[in-house]
Amino acid sequence: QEAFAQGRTVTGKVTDQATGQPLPGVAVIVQGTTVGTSTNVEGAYTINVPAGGTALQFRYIGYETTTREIGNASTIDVALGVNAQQLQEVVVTALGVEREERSLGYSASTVQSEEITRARATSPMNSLQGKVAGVNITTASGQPGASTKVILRGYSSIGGDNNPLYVVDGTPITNGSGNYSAGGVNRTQDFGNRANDINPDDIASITILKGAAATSLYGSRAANGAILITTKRGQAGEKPKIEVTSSATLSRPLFLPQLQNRFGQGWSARFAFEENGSWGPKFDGRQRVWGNVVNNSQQLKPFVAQEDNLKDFFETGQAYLNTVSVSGGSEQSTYYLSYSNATENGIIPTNADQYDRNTVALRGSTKGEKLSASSSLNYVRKDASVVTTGQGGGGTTLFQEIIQIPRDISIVDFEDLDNPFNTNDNYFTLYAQNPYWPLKMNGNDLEENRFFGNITLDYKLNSWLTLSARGGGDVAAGVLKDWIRPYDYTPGSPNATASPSEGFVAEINTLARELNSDIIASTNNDLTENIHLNALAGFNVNERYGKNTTASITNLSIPDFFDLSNTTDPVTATTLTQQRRLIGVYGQTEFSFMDYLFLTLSARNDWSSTLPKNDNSFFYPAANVAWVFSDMFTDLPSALSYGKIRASWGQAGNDAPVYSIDPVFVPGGTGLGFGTINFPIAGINAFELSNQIGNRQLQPEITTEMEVGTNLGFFENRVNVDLAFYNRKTTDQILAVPVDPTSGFTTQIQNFGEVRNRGVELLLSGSPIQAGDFSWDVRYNFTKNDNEVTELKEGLDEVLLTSVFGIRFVAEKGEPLGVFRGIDYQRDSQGRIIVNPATGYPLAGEEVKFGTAQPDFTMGLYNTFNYKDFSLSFGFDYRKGGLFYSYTQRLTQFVGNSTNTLYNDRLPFIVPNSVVTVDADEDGVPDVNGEGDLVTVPNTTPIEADHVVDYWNPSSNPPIERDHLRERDFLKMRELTLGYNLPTTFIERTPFSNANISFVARNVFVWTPDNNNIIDPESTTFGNDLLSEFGEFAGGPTTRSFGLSLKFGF
Amino acid sequence: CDDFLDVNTDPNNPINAPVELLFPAAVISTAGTVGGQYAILGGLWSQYYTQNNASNQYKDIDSYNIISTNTTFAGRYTELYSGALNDYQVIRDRSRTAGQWDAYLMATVMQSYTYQVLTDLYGDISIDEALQGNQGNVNPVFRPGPEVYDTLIARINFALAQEIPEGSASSGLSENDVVFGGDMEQWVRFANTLKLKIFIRQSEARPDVAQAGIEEMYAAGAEFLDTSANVDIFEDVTSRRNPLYEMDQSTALNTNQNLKASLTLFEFLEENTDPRLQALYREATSGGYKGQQQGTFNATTAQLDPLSVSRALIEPDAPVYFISEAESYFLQAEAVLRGWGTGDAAALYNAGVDASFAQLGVDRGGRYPFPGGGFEEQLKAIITQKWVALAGTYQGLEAYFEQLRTGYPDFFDYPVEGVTGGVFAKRLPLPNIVSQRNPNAPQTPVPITTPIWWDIK
Repeated sequence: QEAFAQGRTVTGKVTDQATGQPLPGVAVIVQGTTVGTSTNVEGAYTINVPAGGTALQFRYIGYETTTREIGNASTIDVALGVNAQQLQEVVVTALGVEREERSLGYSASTVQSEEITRARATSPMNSLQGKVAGVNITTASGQPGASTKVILRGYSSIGGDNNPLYVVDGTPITNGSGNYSAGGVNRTQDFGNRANDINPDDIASITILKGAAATSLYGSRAANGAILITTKRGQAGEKPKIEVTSSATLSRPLFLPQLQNRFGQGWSARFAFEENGSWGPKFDGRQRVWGNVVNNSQQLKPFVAQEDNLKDFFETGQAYLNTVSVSGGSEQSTYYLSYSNATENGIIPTNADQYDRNTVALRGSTKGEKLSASSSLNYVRKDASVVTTGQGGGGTTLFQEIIQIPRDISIVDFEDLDNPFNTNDNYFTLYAQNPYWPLKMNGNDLEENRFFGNITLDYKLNSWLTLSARGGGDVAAGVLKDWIRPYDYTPGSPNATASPSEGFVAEINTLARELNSDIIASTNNDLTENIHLNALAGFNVNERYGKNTTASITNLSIPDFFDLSNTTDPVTATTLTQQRRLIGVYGQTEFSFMDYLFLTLSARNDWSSTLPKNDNSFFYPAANVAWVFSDMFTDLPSALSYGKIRASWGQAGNDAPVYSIDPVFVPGGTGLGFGTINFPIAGINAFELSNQIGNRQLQPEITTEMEVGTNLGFFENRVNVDLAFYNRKTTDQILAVPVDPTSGFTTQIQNFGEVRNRGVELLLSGSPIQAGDFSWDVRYNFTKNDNEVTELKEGLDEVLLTSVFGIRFVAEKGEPLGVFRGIDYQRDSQGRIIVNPATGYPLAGEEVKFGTAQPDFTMGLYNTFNYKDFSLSFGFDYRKGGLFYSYTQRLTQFVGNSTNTLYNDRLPFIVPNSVVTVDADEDGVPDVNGEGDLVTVPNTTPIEADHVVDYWNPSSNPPIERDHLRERDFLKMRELTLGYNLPTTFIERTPFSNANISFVARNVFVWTPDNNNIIDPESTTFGNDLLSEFGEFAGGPTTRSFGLSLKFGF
Repeated sequence: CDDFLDVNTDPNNPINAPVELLFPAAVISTAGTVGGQYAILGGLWSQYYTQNNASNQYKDIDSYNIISTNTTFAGRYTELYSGALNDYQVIRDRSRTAGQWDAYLMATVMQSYTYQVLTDLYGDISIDEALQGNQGNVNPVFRPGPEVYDTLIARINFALAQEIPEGSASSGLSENDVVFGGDMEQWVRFANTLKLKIFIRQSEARPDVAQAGIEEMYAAGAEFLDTSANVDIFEDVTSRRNPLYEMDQSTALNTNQNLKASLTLFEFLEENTDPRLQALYREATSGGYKGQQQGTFNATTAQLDPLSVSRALIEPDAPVYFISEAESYFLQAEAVLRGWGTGDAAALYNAGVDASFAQLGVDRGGRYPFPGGGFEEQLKAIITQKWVALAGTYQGLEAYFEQLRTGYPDFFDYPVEGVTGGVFAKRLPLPNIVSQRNPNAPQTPVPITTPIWWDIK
């Protein structure tokens, strides 16, 4: 091979295999060397091949990397083919800048349209559950349209927002819920967050930027990462294409409380026909009369368990998701138009859980000599009704009513509200309400119209400088109507001593508006043959505005007329307006050396309206490095086909809340503990000093994050590893810190403290088998996030997040964010439980830590098998560790329905491992000897059978509250799909260009530890931020769904 | 750019509000607490009521099982300091600067009244350094109870010494005066009666202070309330009702069956065939009137049928009383009885009993004549009748303080489920949200069984 000993020149042209168009900017590299060049505007290149160079490699974003032997050739023309796999390597980064995956010094995960739509979830983010490392995605409940929570790399903010920034086609959208969801223990309605409004079928890809270095260009909005959604567009030069996607799925409860079937209605081990619990005798099958005497008659039924009474209550839910789109383009212009409809009726009987969403999307682009323009416009109309969760007197919420029905009583037989035994007057217990009452008599209706989108203009000033202007907005206007029907009891009727309901009607008008504009100058050119520069500088203006007007009445004059006019009382009206503005300037520079070493520097400065006027400017720098070492070194083992090491550092912020600087006066009134007194009264109005002390030195929360990672490809990228380590610190937490109320105030807004998240994310993907028509692809991800509150204010050990029935959920220094605390048993020095010697009941002791809500680790596993035209895929999602609070557990335990109340077959028992203090005073209060040690001896006093009920009741045994925390572990089969592409031979005889039919299923099964047989640990009634980690309060079941999906194009 | 970003002024809430709009908010905060949760506390501890055995709500109160972590009473403490006292303070600060002495007297009297309730419940409280959170002091120091009393007297005296308008308060203030409709003569009487109440409370612990203070008032010709100082604007509309009714009887709770007739007051009334019984308690669901022994809330429904026991009778539009007419007469009667005031103790006693019957709309008949005999017997009659009279105005807490001070009535039953080993409750423990957040607050909880400083009898 002497002939090649000396260098020589090779020329050629690179074109697109499909269109034949020249491809400019293609990297041409002499394989195994650092010698390279790129193609010019005509796709042509010239390269000097050094001695020993044997092959040329052609690399271009989105195309198959191609290698050609040089041999004797002096001209090598190449037509590059688009590769779906390679497409993933184009990543949309902050501000919509498209970059090559290889050039990124941070982790960015992109999920393609196919993954997003495969199992036909109505909300796009739900399809990503368990698929991306470092991303926690949870659906609040099984109700149609329920909130989806997305948390990237753990919770960073104790008191602020932990949701990522959602960006659609370069413009941020609102993700609020419009204050429709109250969240928490009281009557709550979850109409979902607005990121769920996007039609999944319109999405081309979703890129998740997890770290602060990746999102720093979004400045004070990006501390929680960003979700960048890129929508589908027409392709230039594409013939008009019509795509139709249609699916119908059915749903059933995934996980219902598993309740005991041994004991029936009653209390204190005796039958009682009016009790809302199963503390009665053992089932014996005898005929018993039960419930109230109505018109001198009473109902009769055998005393046996109704094992399926809960299951029978739920109906089969239905969901339809249909999209039709038309797209195409000329050489200069493209268009995409779609319409979709999602219609769901959930598993609750009646239409109380209903979700109807219509979307229209229109996108276009046109390209001129210098000026090009594109637009993305979306309209959403949403109509929804939800079943309320939480607690509320007088049958205003559903689930608390059904879980306390005794085990021997059929629920579905209560459906007929006209049946005299089922009326409010005569329902079998006065301690609860017929569950069909809230379903049939109360309700709500949301109607929201939303428009979001943007228009972008690009003007090419010269060969190296482009000016872009992008203006966008998101306007959502909604009306929620909410009503509770009043009722009174007939005097003398069995339930006459229960509290009547006055009824309630509310209308909430919501406007949420976000306007955002950017002007960006960008350049993209070669500084030298080997150094390429990509740079941009920009200016951003953002405004967010929200206005809620709520009008409500009580004391309805006509019981079934739900209108604000229907009362003798004054209408209560409140408005809430919030406005904030942000100005930012930013810049980013990316140097690339030889297409294997990349350095990106970025910086942003923000001026925020919510900060003190003289100190409202904040600076957010970031830097990252990517080094594709496999392209630099030639002598790597052949098994390693790709290797990249990346490192990044960056800062981002979480802006201060509005109106937190100056003190104000607020409308007068007083909470009574239960109920309130509000002004005006007797024609007198009043105002009072706000209870929050403002802060004139307020700053944003600052997140500083460092990340290192690697991407490795083995065996011609058949096996891929993506590994990341990160360390994120969030300082200057903004919190309304409780102060001693003696100061006249209850809270003070302050910056302090630090939360650290550090962890590891691993994504392993591979194609173990690729043989002929058969292939197997597998992906596995693992996440371990170590979350810790590393600092709080001096003198402050904890911040209370929420507290429910003696369980406190706190942010505690040195612990993960979200620790459960509560009263423990009183214990002796050996840890034995001290009981009251007279009753045998445990005594309440000190408050202790029970555990944390945070998981030890999570992981996901996805498999796809392809055989000829068949495709089978399924995925699992596993979470290990952590606790959650369950009111469903508490209430079922209180009424004797839960299985743990079967302890010792409800026979008299001595509290295990219990002792009594022998030197106790006569009064039963344990005495302490001089050393402070208790003298204890084993307890011999049993809890009698008729008092077993009180053992499970926290008001007589407070430490039993601990039992309401359950283990959060679960394993879920998230997806199962079996698809069939109609064969080409068949398609050719139809007007279709492609057609696919699939069986789809989501949340196929769930496994939980024995400790939790009560509710899906993912369900929550506490919104979609940190508080949601607390758990649930009479939330409903989650669902499994299965159905058919059709997809065809022509 | 600066203008563009200048949008952080809260459009939802005013930056300022005039004193005449602050006053009713503060008074309602006081009334919502003393006429709400404290009326329940006092009603149970004064043994007007006891917890029903088929429901749960007030078991902790009825059994004296209240510790520093109790959130109910932490909430009330918070409401009084940050919902009432702070607004009175804003009014006092502003009106003092402006020389608006009508508003100053009204705010000072109401604030002093509220402070006395707090110090009588908790002993040491914060007063001179309190309410300064927005001036940089979030950790105020606490003062011993006697110092608090002395401060209150000094403040009221200072307010009374100013040029208070004759007749009506200024126009905006009068319309928003939910206590006396701007009648400044009544406010002066309220101030005097409050002073009398503060002095009388010290009759055992600091009799010389009490005597000197009361004698000085009588020497100066102080006039006392001959009508009730109360808020009488409630109506049977959600969130506009009497606070005790709203929180206990309306739909805020799942059941309105919690407060039952305590046998202690029930039997006293029954033995005297006192028609106030029917005005204080409802007929039982299953008919007739019946009481329940104090603290028997754990009795099974087989042992005690809850439908057979009378419930508390509370009206949705009942006023909240700060000092009732009867109470004023009983205070004066005691001052005269002790020889510190001038007048006819028997007449004042009779005026008190009459006022109580009249207020409940029933006939006294010849009941409860003022006894002859010595001081102790007459004091017993005054305080026992005050106890009954305060039941009609839902002022059980005041009756309980007076029982602690004097030992009358002397027939209270220790609640059956009491957790304090036979010792009656003497106070409330300071909420832990105070001691945890404020290093200058007392750090060791004082047990519920430790007497307040004036309770030495």
